Amino acid sequence: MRVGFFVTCLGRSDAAVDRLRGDQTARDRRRRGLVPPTQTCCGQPGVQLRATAPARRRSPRKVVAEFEGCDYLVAPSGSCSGMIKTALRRPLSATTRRCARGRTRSRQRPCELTDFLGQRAASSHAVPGSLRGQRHLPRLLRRAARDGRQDASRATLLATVPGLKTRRDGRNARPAAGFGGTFALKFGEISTRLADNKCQHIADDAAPTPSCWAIWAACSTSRAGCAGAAT
Amino acid sequence: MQIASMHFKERAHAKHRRRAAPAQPAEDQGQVRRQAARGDDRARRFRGARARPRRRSASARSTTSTSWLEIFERNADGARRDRAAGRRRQPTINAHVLDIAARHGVRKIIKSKSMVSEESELDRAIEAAGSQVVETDLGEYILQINDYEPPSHIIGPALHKSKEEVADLFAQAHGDAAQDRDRASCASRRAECCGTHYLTADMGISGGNFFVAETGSVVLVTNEGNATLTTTLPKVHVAISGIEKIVPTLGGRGDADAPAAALGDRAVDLELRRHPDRDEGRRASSTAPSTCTSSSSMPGAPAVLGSDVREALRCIRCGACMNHCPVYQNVGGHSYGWVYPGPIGSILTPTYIGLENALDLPQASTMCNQCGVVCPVKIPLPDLLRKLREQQFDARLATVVRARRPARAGRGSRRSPGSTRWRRASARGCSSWMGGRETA
Repeated sequence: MRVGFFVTCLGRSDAAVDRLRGDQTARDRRRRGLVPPTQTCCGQPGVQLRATAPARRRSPRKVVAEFEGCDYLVAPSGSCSGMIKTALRRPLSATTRRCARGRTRSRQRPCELTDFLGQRAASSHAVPGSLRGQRHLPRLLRRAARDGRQDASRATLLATVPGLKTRRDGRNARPAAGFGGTFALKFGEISTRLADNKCQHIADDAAPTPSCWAIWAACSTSRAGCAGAAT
Repeated sequence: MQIASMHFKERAHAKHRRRAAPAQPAEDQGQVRRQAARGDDRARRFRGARARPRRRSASARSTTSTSWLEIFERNADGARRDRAAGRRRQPTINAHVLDIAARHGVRKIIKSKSMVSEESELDRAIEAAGSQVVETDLGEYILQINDYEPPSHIIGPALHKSKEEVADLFAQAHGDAAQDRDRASCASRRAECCGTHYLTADMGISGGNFFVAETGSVVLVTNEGNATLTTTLPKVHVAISGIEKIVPTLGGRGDADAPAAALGDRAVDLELRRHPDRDEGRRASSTAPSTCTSSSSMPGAPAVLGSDVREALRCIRCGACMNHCPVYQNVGGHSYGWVYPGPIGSILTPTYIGLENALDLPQASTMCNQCGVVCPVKIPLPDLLRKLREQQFDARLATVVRARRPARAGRGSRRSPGSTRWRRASARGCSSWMGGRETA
């Protein structure tokens, strides 16, 4: 099984938390996988905003060419892997087919990192350490939670960590609002308020340790959200 | 209603500033109520049981077409209605209603809820023509006595008001004493005053949740029961609704039952008492038959039928999308600038009034798909928003103003290294591709 690792634009940004996250996961993958240095964005900002046609034309071609020969294409972001999945599900264009050596459909199977580790590689991985304490397991975006698989993978994965307890939805739990990304660029003020609400809900639930996932969501996907969470 | 959809961001910002000021806690309460209206746990409980009705509702609402409009008009005429007037445009709908009122010598009109009349500002037109109009829906009445304040939600138009504010308005309008400002007193006072109007009104105007083509009847769903009184007590009844509200049959594939049932549940995410009411237009003792006016409310509405966003015409105006929208919960309904707030408003408003008049609305969504999940008629709201964004891109409509340049520092400032300048330039290019950044 050959695994390609799609670092995403988060891994290439210079925010410390992103770098840490991107580097760590990339180091793991590099042992057995492929991390093409030329990779860039999955094209999602363009699709979510409005430049759909150029983004859709460009993105699958590049991904197919870069990850040639991989069975799995793993990304540490559900929305990026979803974007690639949607793009590759369509029949490939003539140019893309040339990159893919004449195939009409791509052979790589995009999947999210926790989904991949939880469902497909859980048995082959020994957990390297342990973690004492309790972690809050917040809810996913509804579009990601629809099939429930990614959620189950996360729970399975965290259950293998020795000493760690996970907490499900608290009283104030809401599905994730998706306040980061391009929405944060366009409506910084509203995005900040959504991030503030999220942090407030976590605080109200009084989890003993702050939710690593929620803080990651607040910080890594939105600079504006990060500023709001800090203030 | 006056259109202010171009100013979404400014209005959202103004609301945020008002909320930040400690003197006005009402806005926060509005947010609490909006969040409470979602009733998340209860929604989860009902969701499984609703999957099948949701499919039925969606298929029933997919069958709307202009041919059903003609069948409806024919059958409505057959049902001894005064006149079934279809495809009327917004400027003429007020004139049409006033014409009916004049023919029957109407002096007082009672009204139950109708979004189309909000669009065309029918209340003001009636008052300008010298007749009296009284809203019988409690939320609408609160807004009416506050000088026709615009609604902030489709189902709960006065959701943004605290009970103290409502008590103040009632005291002002009815001259209540200070001790009668509790909730029960307000409710009983309102019931007394409305009861008189029901009996003395000459004409009742209602909306129409569904118009049934097969029978020419109007289906109304209320939880206060006011629509039943509005449609039956006065001698003339006028029902106003959009052409997209026509369903083919009462039973079978294109029936009105499934969406009507979904309407009550989804509006507040609770199993609420609802009064479905079917008006057939036949009255044994009435001096004048009832009238049914189906209206394509704005000039853009018929164009929607053949457009990319025609799935939005399935909307049954239940308000579930705005109950679950994180953006709506934070900015409130007034920020959207027209009759329809929330995700469905972000689609209907630009489609009806023109994309160039509501630039921010298609962008004002985080694409979290909560609206798409809860919609009882399965409108793919995020997909439709993306289509509108594509149209904006194709039409080269800029959405946000350019970022202001920061003031240059003095002579002593260090020049940025080349790599940083290059990164800034590329970020500027990238953000212009995305429509520009928000100004500070």
